[in-house]
Amino acid sequence: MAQVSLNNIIKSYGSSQVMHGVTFDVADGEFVALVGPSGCGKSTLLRMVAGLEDISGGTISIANRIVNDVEPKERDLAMVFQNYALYPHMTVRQNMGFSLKLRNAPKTEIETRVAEAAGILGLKDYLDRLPKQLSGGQRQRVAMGRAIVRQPAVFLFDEPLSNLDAALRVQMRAEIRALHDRLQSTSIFVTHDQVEAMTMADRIIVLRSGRLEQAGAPLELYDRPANAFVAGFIGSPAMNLLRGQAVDGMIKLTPKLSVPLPAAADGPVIWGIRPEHLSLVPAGSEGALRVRVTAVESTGHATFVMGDMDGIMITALFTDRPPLSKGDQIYLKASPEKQHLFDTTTEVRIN
Amino acid sequence: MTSRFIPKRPLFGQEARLGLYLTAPVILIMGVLVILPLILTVVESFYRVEQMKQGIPFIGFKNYANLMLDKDVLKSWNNTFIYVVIAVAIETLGGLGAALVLNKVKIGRRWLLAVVVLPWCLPPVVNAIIWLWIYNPSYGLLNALLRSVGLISESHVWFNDRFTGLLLVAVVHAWRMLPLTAIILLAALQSIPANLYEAARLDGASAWRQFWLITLPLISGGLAISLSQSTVFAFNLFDEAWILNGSSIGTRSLMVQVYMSAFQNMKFSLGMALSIMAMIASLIVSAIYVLRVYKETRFD
Repeated sequence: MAQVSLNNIIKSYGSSQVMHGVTFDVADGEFVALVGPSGCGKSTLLRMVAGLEDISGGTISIANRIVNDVEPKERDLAMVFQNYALYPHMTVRQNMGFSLKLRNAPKTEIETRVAEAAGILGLKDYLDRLPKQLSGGQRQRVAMGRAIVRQPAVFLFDEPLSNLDAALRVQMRAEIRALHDRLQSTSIFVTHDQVEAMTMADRIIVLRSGRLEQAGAPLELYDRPANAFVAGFIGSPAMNLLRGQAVDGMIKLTPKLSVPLPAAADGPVIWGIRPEHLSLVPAGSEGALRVRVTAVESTGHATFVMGDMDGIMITALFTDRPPLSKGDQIYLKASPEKQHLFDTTTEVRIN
Repeated sequence: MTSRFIPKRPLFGQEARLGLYLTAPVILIMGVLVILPLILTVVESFYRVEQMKQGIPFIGFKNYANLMLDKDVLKSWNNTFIYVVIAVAIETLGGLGAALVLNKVKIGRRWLLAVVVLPWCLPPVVNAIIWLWIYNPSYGLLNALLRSVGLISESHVWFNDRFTGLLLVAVVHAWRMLPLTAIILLAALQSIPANLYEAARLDGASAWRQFWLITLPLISGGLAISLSQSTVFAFNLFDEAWILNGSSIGTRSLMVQVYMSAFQNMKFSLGMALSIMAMIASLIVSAIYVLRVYKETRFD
């Protein structure tokens, strides 16, 4: 059990700097997800915590000890890799017991701890198999098992679910979270999938191009994104972000199209509205937006409607299956209290 | 899944026929140049085929029996076993070392690889002649070097001593064959995913234990291949022994003995029988490596 603190972390490769002073803390026992698009530096950050990557500037401390120059094995953490990194020549039992064997733990202790982990992960029947004889999901569990037999202070996960199929991913998501609740150990989980982050984490840290964009609880990020990037990144389908001019209490999206301004602002702004906060209203309602439907997609539990309003694309989401088809003329209204407003140049939230 | 979805095909379908066409040249070449001569050699080793004597009577295992009793033959077996042990040891340890260094080096690897491979590209005779100069008693580099560092006080005639001679011949052979082992092992090393070492570092493995517990088991396939090829080539050692020390019995290898029997003493079938025995011996040794060392591993 330990707290992890990153203070002003900088990473450069030669003259190009890829990490520009990232600072955040992970509380003892907390499950934190690092999310961001490809190349945002989330994996690099995780590898720096693990000690597999040098730190160019700033400090990382684990349990109040600065570990910048501490060997990975001395940091008391375990990592689950994206492609599992199981030792192909060792059985499941040997894979899971490897770290204990290296520590010269007594044979009986290795046996009991491996058996315990195998019990938790449902691997009891596979202990004598080689990794190549296991399915993707089972390998994933072995990788987890290898981490938990160590009983480390911190768990690191580097996109561990991205090689699994969709159904298995949902299942493992729940299993990893349940495991965390059971072990109560500090965990840092890197993913590019915001759904994983939303469903698993106590707190999400959004990164972009080596900078921290926002840190907070999943619903906090969803309801009050700090900037237009987070607003667009968190949530699927993505929030509608429309550029316009704030004039006289209205946002002019196009010369013919305006919506009421949700907060005091002047000049260029980005207006944000989530697809599910748009509702169908009768023609001629006050503040209604006229939209021509360009596509309708249904997943069964929800219907996505893509539409064109005076040249601007907008997406709406309905759960009551409205009878719409391509070419229909509809009227949408944005819930007044669910709107977001961002500054165009800084992308920072205004309301 | 059921058979009615699979169209019925003739015995040799289109794919099988294409396969036959593509392998036909190799089958033909191997058949004519390897399999046929091998069969002929086995058959004729049971006859007396000698230039100086009339007729080719069937003599059964007489050639083989004679070989068991011939002192020179027994000596050359002994020499060859010593060659194999020394050469395989140098090639495997040196090749592994070279492969590990090449795998580690980031800058200039291509150039280093070219340098390492160079001896292997030399024709064996050229290679042996270069070393003949190095070993020369009066103007050789070896004597000069050892004298200059004070290890010896006067020049040695190296091939006067049997064991020194065997060692020096084996060194020349290993010098030429080591690059092949290095390249086979380098390929094996490069197929090990890097994150296995990261996982091992997190698990707490020191560099030595990473090598012993991860690298070595995962290159065992490559090791088996390189061990068997170096054994087979050391069994067939000829050029180096012949050029450095001629037919001298102290360093005479099996292949030199085969040459002596067949083409100096004109006892063709005796030479054939000896070469068959050498082939069987090297096959047995390499089969041991392959069965004991080689393990099928898949990295994913």
